[in-house]
Amino acid sequence: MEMTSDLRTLEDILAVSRKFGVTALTFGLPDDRIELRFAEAACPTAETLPAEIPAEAAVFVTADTPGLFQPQITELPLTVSKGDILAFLNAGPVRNTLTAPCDGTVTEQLAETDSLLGWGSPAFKITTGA
Amino acid sequence: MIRILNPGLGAAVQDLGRRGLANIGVGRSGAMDRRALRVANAMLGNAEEAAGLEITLGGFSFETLEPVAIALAGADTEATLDGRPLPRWWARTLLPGQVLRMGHSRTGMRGYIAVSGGLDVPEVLGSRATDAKGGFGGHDGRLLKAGDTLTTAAESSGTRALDYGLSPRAWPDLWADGSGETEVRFVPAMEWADYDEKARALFCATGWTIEPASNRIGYRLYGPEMVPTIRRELLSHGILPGTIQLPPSGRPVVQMLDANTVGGYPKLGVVIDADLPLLAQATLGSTLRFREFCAAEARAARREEDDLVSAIRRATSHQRKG
Repeated sequence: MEMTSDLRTLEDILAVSRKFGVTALTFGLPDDRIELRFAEAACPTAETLPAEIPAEAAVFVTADTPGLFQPQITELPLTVSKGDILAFLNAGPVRNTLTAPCDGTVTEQLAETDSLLGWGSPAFKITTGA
Repeated sequence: MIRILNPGLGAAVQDLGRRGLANIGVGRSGAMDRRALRVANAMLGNAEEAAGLEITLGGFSFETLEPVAIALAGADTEATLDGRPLPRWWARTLLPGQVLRMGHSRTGMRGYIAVSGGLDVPEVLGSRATDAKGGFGGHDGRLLKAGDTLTTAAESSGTRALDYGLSPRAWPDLWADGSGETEVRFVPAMEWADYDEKARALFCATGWTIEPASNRIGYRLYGPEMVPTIRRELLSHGILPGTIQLPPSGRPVVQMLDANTVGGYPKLGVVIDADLPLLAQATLGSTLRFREFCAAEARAARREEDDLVSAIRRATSHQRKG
């Protein structure tokens, strides 16, 4: 497998694991096993936020798959819950969702509607806490 | 495995139906919007003949008892998963205990849910489709009730977690609105010649209203009375889904998938196979128009549906590769 393909596979595994709350994966034969343990996300999610939440913190929602950015929220600021659909990312024949990683208030849209986002491109800013 | 919480106004197990048995009085049955069920199965990588759920007018809900991948297709039913919106034409892996609910559709008649591997109900006469009139096929030969449990035919452990949808930019035809005016094409039938030029023109120019007394058996249409030049008394003969009959009332009836296999009313034409899915989604009270078509073009139109389903199957295959 090519390196880019490997990285994409890992990105896929990571995204799906986060979505379903998986923290570790072990696969392969007993003598030849691979174990993946997922570190805390660079962009904190609700589960990875420290116990002591600052009075107000900014969370940047980034694209976890490439695609044309199609926001589904119109008026800002907007209070959202973890898992709410914030945007679609259209990639040719298919589309994926960009969801809120935590409860909070979407205060900024950081990408132009219909612009092409890549992995990790910032799309929204969510303010959490007071 | 899933458990039905609320069957809504009518939910049943359907596949592509039974063909080749009309000679012994067995109707076709199967998904009214065949294209939607085929697309849903393609999104999951299922076999063409996999059985799924047909939900008429929404109001349906189920909970999952085991992990299962589903694809949501057909009318916009404003579906939610655990209270959060689940977009149209969407494939998603559900975890045990999750609840999928459908609202009431306003722009289409029928929503579809395919499950990975298809629903595991017994095959009767070559199909898993429910023939509610005959009381066989599907789940115990009937519409679903609250508390029914349905199992899937595939091992769910091998399924990759899915969460993707079809882009409306790539497949705009799938987002058609069935609540306004729907045009369907028809091939003239034997008694079409019994109507003069003026009557035929009237048939094609009229915006026929789909009456509330329309269902999987047939669609009753309201409009001007059609008067034939020649009145015939016909012996009952074989008819197919899509046949446009003209009863003595002078107002057409379009026979659908649960129709009888024989009828004796004069036939104006037959709605082409490719347009039956459009008819399936045309809402009660909406307007229907007919356009005359030829048999060769009708066959080509049917191939377009095959091409669409194949293209979606190909275009989404990378989403399913684990």
